[in-house]
Amino acid sequence: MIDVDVLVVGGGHAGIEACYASAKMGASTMLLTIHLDTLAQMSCNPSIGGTAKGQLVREIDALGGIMGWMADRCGIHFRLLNRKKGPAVQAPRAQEDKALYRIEMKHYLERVKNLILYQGIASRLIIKEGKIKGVELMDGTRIKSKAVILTPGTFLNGLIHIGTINYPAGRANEPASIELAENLRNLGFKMGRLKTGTPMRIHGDSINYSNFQVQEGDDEPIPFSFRTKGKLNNRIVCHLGYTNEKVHKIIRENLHRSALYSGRIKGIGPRYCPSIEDKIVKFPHHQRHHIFLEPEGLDTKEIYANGLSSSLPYEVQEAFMREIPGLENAVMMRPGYAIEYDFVQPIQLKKTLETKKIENLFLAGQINGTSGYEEAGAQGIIAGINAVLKINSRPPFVLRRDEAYIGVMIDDIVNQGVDEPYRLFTSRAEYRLYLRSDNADLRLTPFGKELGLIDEETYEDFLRSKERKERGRKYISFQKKKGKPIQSLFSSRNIDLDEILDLLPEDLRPVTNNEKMFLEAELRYRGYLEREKRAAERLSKEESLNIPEGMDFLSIEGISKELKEKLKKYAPSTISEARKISGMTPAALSLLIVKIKEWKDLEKS
Amino acid sequence: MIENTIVAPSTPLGKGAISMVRLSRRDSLKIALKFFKPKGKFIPRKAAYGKLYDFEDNKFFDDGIMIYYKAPSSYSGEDMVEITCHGNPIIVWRIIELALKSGARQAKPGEFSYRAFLNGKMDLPGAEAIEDLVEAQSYDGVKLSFSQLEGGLSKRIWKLRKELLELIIVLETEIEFPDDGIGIERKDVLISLRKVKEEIKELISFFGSGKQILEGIKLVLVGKPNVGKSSLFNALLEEERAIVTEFPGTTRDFLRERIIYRGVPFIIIDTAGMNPNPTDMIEREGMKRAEILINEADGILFLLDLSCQIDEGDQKLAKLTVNKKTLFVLNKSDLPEVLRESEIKKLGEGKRVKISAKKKENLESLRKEMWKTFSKEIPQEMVYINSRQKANLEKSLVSIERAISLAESETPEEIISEELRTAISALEEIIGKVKTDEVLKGIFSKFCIGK
Repeated sequence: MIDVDVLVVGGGHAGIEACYASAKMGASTMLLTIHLDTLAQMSCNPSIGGTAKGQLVREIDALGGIMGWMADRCGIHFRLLNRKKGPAVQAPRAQEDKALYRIEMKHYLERVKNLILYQGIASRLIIKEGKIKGVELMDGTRIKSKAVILTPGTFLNGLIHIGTINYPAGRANEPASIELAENLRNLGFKMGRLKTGTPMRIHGDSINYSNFQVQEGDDEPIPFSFRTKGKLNNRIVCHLGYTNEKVHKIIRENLHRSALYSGRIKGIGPRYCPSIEDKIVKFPHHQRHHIFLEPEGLDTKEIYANGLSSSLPYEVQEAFMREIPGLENAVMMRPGYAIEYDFVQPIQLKKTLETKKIENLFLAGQINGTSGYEEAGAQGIIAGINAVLKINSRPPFVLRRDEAYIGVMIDDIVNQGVDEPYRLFTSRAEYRLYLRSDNADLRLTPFGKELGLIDEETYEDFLRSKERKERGRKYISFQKKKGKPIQSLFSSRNIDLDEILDLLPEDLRPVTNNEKMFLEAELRYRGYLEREKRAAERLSKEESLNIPEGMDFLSIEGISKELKEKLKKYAPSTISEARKISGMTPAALSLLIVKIKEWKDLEKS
Repeated sequence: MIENTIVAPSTPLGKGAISMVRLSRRDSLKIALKFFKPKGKFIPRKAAYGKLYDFEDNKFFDDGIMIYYKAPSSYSGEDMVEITCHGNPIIVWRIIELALKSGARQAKPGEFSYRAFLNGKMDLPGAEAIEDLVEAQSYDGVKLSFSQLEGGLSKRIWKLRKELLELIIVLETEIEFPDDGIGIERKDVLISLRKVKEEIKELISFFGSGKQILEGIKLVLVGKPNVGKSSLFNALLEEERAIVTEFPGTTRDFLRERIIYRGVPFIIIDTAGMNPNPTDMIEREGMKRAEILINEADGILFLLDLSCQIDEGDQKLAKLTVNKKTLFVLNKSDLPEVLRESEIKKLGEGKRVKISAKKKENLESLRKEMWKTFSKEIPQEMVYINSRQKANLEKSLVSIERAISLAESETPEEIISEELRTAISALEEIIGKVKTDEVLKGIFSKFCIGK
């Protein structure tokens, strides 16, 4: 029988970060995956990053994770989104060579100390007295482990729909994980069903690109990883085109054959990533919709038709595709499809991503109702870290909302649950001007170092960069020009960033684009950053508010009966603990705070 | 520890035909039934006659009516009991004592309304309006506070909040989905922002008039010694005696009285010892106070002596009142007229009324002229703004104005959005959507017990 400290089930973006963090922290770790050759597969679009997601990748990287570094290595087209806006919402995004990403990731993980990669399908969790003990595979093999991290993604009871046809699968033509889903349900987890979809892939040589606009990468690509050195190169271009009324007409006429509109799909799909039939039904007055043609890699002709996600039958997909100028003779290589999968309602999790029900069982990625490679990766690293901390009886690692987007995401899903695939947005963050990609290292790398995820060399680099950033900022804050502080000249647009940087002494000049962005952000947002900091401090004061012992939760009017019962059952001793109770709402929490203060006043009088 | 039922008298402690005591929260009925013995059986929301029973000496001490309201259909949203007894403070005191002995506790100031707010029975402006409704000094004030109670201000704030939210949504979309090119026009953002700004400014402008309607229009009697200020003051009051209210806090320095004419309350202030040519320290001090009062006033009743020429003293006083809306009251019309029209003009703008305070002549014209000059027509859209609400509106306005100048200077969306978030949260504090408990404490401690 195999015996490990931490077993990670699922070799997607969550599983990879989880097993890497765990192994790196010194725990003997196994990554179990259905098919080793599809490790790190990008099931949908061939890109990483974007608004909020780019910041997440930076955070994973700053903590010592892999995604950013690998995305830089396998990236073939790089863009910084929102260049015209401020640094807080600028976000790196890259097109990736999918096959390369897979191969490089496997190659990398195979060389990680303490980590075993193993191919197999988990069918049952082994649980004793409410504690996880390991996992049984379909072939009967038992793997013993102190902690288990489940990251099954869309494989969990996955069901693919194309038109009126459906079949169980985790990805097209890959077996789903059905028994595991059943097992979780039988264990009493509250589960739900979500839906996502992917568009068709087209043979590149069959596309007439003259009908599309070229979208180039940035002249000076900006890397995700703080560790990436050297220049990144754009190897491909993307193309932008549009649908038209003829396309829409075909879709409208065939709606009854769409898996979504014929009622075959019960799962809830993401509003922010609708299928083409969804867009046409919900926005009937729009005469056209965007299509981005994105190459899937350098060694393949496959082109990802971003914007044409669909669950219509093959022949309908082909018919409407051919109505798009430039795709008249296009050859489809894979049809688009919709996929439904199970998720565990995340209010059943602690902020460490450990389940409340079963000790040492952690969940990360789509199983928690999120969507996106980046969201998955970020949860993966948190689950990996906390699994190791837990089995070594060390205090948990939880990031707050004012510390990281990771903290915002986990706080959101754990406290509020999920009713559609959860995606991170910058507007979900109260402290958006502070949670930036340019200061992710300042915010998180010290944690990564303490946890043992950051090696010496990277840390030395970080310290030097930190010094330049912090001293540079301070230096600028004291500088004047024509008797006026630089800060106010910048705000009133009387001086630009390059002029300011010229004022810096040689040793404080930014070395990386990141350092430059940092200085710009600190100048631009100064007053706001102070305001955000004060707000965060006020909040953390409230968080640590003690709940008096013997407090009668049942008498708090305005809170649902169910919540009152839960408060009574868990008897939290601080607001921060009360917040963690599943189903706790912000409104209920503020009632509780008012109540505590009232209570304390009463006891005084 | 069990959360106690609260109890408080709801009518003023004094002798009257009847008084009322209220209880709220879970055990209200159980506690009430210990000392109120209804005759026959009773049903929620129906008046039940019964006797008040003192369980300490096993004797009945009064009879009255009890109404039981079952949660959530009550004022506070909790189980409530109202007991009406005969209007003797001793009876009320004993009822409260019996309730306390049965496990209730004395309600804190404003606690019934506070409970109602917490239980979602009313929003913050509504809760605040209750105090105004009770304190209002005029019928217009009563109507104004009642419309507030019904959500007059809240509706406006929700509307503003919605407008801002819509703007934020647009800006955020632009931030989150840069590739989708929804392309917002700055000029559209600015149009909306400027509209919101004007609406907030209008609400803020209601602050002053609302205060006047609720509390009364403050008029200071200005005039040199012996021009007849005191006689006029007394003459105005004497005729109004029936509706004149005693004003608390009257000091030796000045006298204040309230009169109501055509439903409009006026506060008439007579400054003692106003002497434009002070001769001693006390008079100098008196002039200083007068100046302060003039500055705070909503208008001036400028008294002149018809029987003599305007002199240096009148001119000095006129300098103090130059920025105030003024009504010239020409006293001593019973004596030969010496004062010339052209002279008065030099003192400033304002209508004139001839009276004789001594003979009580023409006072009705004076009142009518006061009403015409100083009382404002209540705008159809008028809502009452208290100082807490005004402070939050101003906070919101600052952010909106900043957002406008940011939008004009092509500043990126995320900073504009940041200002709008601040503006929204200031508005939310007005309606109490975001419950900052310091705000609540401040508001509810202003309430009188049992309202």
